[in-house]
Amino acid sequence: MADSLPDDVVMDILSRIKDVPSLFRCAAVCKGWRRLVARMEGVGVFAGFFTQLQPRGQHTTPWFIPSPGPVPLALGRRRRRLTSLVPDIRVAGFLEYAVPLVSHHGLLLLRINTNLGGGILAVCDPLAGTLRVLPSLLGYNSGEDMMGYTLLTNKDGGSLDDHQHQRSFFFKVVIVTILKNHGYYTEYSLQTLSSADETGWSRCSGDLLKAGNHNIRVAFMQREAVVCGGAAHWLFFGVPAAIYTLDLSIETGHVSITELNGIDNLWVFGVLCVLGLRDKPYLTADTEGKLMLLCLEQDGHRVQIWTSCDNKMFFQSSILKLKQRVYKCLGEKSGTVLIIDKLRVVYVADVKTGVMQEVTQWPYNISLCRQNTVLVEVDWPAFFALRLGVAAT
Amino acid sequence: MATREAGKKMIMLKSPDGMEFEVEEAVAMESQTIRKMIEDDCADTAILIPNINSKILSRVIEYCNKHVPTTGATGAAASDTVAPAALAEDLKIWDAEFIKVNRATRFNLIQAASYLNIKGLLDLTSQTTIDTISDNSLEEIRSFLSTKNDYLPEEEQTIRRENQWAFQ
Repeated sequence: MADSLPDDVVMDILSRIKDVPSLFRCAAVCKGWRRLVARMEGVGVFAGFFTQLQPRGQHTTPWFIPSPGPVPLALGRRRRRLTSLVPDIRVAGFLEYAVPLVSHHGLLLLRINTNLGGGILAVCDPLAGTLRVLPSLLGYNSGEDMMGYTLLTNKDGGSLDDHQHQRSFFFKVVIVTILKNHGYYTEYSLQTLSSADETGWSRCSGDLLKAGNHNIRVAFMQREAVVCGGAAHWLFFGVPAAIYTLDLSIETGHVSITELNGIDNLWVFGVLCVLGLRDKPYLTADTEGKLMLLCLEQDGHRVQIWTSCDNKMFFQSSILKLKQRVYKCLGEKSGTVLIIDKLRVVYVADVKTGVMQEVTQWPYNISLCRQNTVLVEVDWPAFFALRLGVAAT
Repeated sequence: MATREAGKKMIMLKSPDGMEFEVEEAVAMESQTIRKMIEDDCADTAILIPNINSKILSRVIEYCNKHVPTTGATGAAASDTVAPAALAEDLKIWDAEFIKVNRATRFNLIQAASYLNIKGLLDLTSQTTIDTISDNSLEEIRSFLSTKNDYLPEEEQTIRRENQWAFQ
């Protein structure tokens, strides 16, 4: 009988299912439904975060800390080492020395420290348990030189467009490194590594901002870019004093700079952040793919949420009131904000409702900062497709 | 509802098996599809509803009759005596009774709600189906949907073994 239900009606029913195991069981019902589930618009769900548990130790093994949210996780409910997610032992050994950098669409970009200095980059799929090592970067010396990065996948559009919904390992990594430090200003270079096909890599690099505005001095406020609307955006503080985004078009590779407007005294705010007197604003994207800026107020009880329709003019869309006083905003993904208080208790808060939940798998005695916290979201339909032996035919 | 005031515009709905249903325009306009036809002036005499047999169509009309807002331009007084919350509660109970139908009828209702674009009915029928899916094992879902399992036995075994989290 269900066979007689048209695909769009079934899709409508499937899209109403909020409970992940149920959706998975639907995909496992028959191949037709699996195809439909794989075709669903990916809905990112915050799954947890990667960080290091021994900040001062020799080993910087990344750990996965699961979200306390209602999402049943394939990644498990308890904290675990990243190495336990990659079955291949030879590969897992590598990960003992890895630093998580950024995650996008469930993939994780890592810098793996080696004896050779700067280290190498790799992209890990924690759900599939695979790891791919990237070719080395040009003129790259140490992790300190890497000022910005992003990871793009098939789903971000541009030249990565791919109608097959295979969760094939198809991605682009964009890295901003310091080319030359002139003391009062810094030259950056932009490198793109793309896993264009299975056989090889394509690479391109160039001086960042050659074509852009030379007069702006750049100090990155956030190393990972926000990917939305066909572009990657990095937040930076610049001189002339203002907060800007550095925008990279995914389609054309064109780089431009946009000054963020609409927020009163944002530059003062920027200066305070640069001096470490305030929590930095956090740039992210809302569920509709518009840029969103989260600013934790100094009282630690409220988060201002600013959004923009054109990625330029911002307006305050809401205020998130928090029950507990918090200290730092560590990041946001899929409508979930990760925050830490002075006692080093980590919470997740819902952007819409402000409901807070403690991350119980986090040990209190360790502090966290944005740079060593990588939030992960999981795109369930893509994940199911993979787990059910895809081929979205 | 029993005494129909004069001046209310009536619409004739025809099912493919030849039955005709005369309904108030307001009731018919619960369906966005029909509303559009009326607004575009394509519905002066009778509207043929394809693919929906008279049995299902009569149930759909029953649903719309119940759910049409009672505070119309003419019947404003009707709902003032009943508190909105009580009314909503009453509707909920009515809905729960309404959806107690066999599987085939429910699927037909989903299709009808989808074609006629009646949001409330689609929400109701879909949700009931989702509840069934959420609460049952894979075998039960398959039998409920009368879907043939086209995974190979070994394929299914692998899926189950590797994804125990979904089958607990």
